[in-house]
Amino acid sequence: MISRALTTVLLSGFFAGILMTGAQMLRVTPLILEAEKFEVIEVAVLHSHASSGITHEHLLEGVALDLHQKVETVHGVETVRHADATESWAPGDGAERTFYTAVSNIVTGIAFSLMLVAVYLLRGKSVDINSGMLWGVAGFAVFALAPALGLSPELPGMTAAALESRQVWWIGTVIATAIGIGLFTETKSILPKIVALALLAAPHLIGAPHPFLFESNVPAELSAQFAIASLVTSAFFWLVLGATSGYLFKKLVQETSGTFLKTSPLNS
Amino acid sequence: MTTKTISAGAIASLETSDGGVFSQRMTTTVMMLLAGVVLLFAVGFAQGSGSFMHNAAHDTRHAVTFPCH
Repeated sequence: MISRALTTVLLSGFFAGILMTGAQMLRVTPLILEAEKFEVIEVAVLHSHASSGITHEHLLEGVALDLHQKVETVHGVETVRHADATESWAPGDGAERTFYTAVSNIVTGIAFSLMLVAVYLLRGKSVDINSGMLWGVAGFAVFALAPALGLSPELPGMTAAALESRQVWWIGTVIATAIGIGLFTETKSILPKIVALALLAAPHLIGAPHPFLFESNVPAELSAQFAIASLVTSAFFWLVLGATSGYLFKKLVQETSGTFLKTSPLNS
Repeated sequence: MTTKTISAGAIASLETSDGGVFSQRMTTTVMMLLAGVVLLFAVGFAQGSGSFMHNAAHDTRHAVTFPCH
């Protein structure tokens, strides 16, 4: 059973990853490349506050950097040095970059497929291409739609709050939304459903971390196009992943091992 | 998802019929969830030495709406 479940995961993840690479090349990648023209090199700025005497370092780019350099008299900037951004490896544009993107898309497909198939196994109910697609929609809501409500899909060069704080909010939102959707769909009484709704709303009531300044070097037109393009591409990816994993799970796992579906903690 | 897995594990120990098949299924579930989380972290969040991981997975991160920069 384990090997057949893994085959389901690998095949559906690979398939969805390849299709997403194709879909990405239509809108998402051209927009990223366009936005990178506006991306300014990141600079590490060391400064100390006169009032508190605390010295610390910021990694700044674009508008934030311009602004920082304008107010240097207030802050007492000591040194400005360039980060080692130019020394790090990056795939060359063109075929090499597409190759690495395809590989990481496939890994992403496999990672999400592992979670979908784990949900199928946990529920122990029958899955097919149609219900698989619905689980794909749930995955899209958990991993793309809910986080995007707080943190719009970002283009390179856009101003945003500190990366770590956004990652923490992102992870928290994903966990709360996943538990919320699971609780809502798998329970029948009203109280757990109310708790589920509270969990779904909580991350958005708390609010995502946003930068102090919302200015950006990237034209708003590009950002708007990108937000839609990446969400639609994501939705396409999840629909393919859900449908493929549901179909393969039915063919490879369900129809070959009839006994395992009888016992589930969620069926009682 | 994680909470559900834990409670499912607790119920699993109470099951007597088809216990072997059932616990095998729950073990697979937990292993898959963990593997998925590890892979997701690698693609979505790890920077790697000299930003290797970040640069390789850059366009994917932007496309799947991970926080990137």
